[in-house]
Amino acid sequence: MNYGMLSDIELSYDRKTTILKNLNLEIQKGELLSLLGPSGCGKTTTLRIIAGLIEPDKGRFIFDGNDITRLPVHKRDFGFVFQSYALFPHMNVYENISFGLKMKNFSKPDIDKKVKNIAEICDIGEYLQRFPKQLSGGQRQRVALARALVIEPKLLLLDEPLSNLDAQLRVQMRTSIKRIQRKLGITTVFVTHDQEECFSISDRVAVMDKGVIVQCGTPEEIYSRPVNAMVARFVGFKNFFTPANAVKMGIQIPAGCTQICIRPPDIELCTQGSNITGTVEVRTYLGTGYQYEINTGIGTLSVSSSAEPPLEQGSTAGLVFKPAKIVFLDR
Amino acid sequence: MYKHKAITLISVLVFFFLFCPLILIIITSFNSADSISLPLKGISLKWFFQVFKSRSLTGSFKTSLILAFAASVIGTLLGLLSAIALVKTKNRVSVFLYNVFLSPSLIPGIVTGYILFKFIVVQLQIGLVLALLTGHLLIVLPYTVRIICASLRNTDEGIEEAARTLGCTPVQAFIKVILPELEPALLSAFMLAFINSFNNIPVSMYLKGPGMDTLPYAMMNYIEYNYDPTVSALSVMLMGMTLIFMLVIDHAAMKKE
Repeated sequence: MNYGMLSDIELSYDRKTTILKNLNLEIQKGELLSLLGPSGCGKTTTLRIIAGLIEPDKGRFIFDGNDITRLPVHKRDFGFVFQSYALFPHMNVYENISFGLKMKNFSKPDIDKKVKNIAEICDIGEYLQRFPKQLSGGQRQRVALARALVIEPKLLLLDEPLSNLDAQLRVQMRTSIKRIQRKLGITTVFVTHDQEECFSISDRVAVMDKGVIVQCGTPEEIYSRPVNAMVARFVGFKNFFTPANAVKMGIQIPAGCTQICIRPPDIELCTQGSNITGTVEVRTYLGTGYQYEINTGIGTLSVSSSAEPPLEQGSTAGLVFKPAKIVFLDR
Repeated sequence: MYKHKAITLISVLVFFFLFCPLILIIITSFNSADSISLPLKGISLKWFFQVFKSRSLTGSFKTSLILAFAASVIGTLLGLLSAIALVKTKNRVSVFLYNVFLSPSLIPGIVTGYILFKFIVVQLQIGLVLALLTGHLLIVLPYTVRIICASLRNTDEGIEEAARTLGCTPVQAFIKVILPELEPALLSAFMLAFINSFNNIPVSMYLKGPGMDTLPYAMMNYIEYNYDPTVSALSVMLMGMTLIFMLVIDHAAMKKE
């Protein structure tokens, strides 16, 4: 069911530089939708338009049956978690979390009950009397999440919430976010530039590039069937070649195909029956295996393989493409 | 810490020259002799009482106090409003305006005083009280605008947006989350404005009217005709006032930490 819908959103900076053009996006009730893309693609801007912090030049935002394009931020009831967390420095954790409830004139006992409940869920019950600067990055992150969640928002918006955390904490936090989101059944829009982070927690992903949504679908769809070279690159495809070269290597191509791509682990090394041969230029050790840069007649291909013993630099290798893993792009 | 003999020596000398006159003034204010002199003839508090007997000194003290207070309050408020506008609008005009706001501090006070006199007293025929207040506002604005702008730039804009997503109108968000962050800056802006307005001579000299002296001007007049330590005693009291101000600012800053 369509819960929120951005239609034909356009935004430009100084009326010259276009930031978003013709953007259409559907948000379904209860899902975790991610906006994924390189920095500067307009994903944070899109999130800020949803929140009401920026007004688009054109287009409409329909939410729960109402056009709220011009509705001011404070009347929207959306929870927003900022990249910088934006906790109020002069308030302790309890006051930070209860801020939104006070604005809505809840009674003291109600506020107390709600704050303690959400603090429990977000695992910050012991820090309620502390001030933001006395907390670690992960704790601040959870306070920011609790503050956004406690008002029981109709929509939860997360702007790169994990980018300021170290790698280990990031994995831990994204699992907590997913768990809390599921538990409360709250519709969530999540902005990130990290492909792995995005795929691991999203129900649906919208890949953005240069102010447009290029592809929207489940993580599995995007991972296995990227629609164009940009999306393919973003989800780990490293080897690209033309249909003419593919034909030379004996690969059957469908009509309308303009480019072919394959991931490094989907190319196998062999001694005979290969699609193409080349010489190993660079070998890097990845821990789980080796990555080779192999110079072939159609350019340098990246291949990863865990076969032992590894190929020496300068030696000749035969390459076989796993037929099911070859992706044909028509755009 | 720096441990270098030359630096230590220079610092000691600098502080000596800075504090020596102050210490002398403090000592002479307790002297029972009729002139500012050393060595002490005897210890007495009579010059402190003498301050309160002088009509010109107490009257001008009151004038200066009211003037400095009014100028600092208005200056801090105007400084806050200007700072908001200057920091929120990010374009070339705001950079230009920021420099315009700071410019009175670059122009010699005597020039500002003369121009204001020519313009608002002679040309516009504005009342003296208002003229004096305007002059002092010009003195304090560069300080208040600069201090509040710096603090506002350092404040995370995100907290204002966060407050808005939690149900605040822009004005409510400013009052509830930005203003508390600016508290130390507002306090030090006020104090600096107060001290600068209170101490000013050149601007006041042009704009004051008959029977409406400010304290520094009255003190200058006083020592022209008298050589007794009354002014020393008054200076000691003013130092005490400044000291209390500084302690208040420090305390406010500490509380924030």
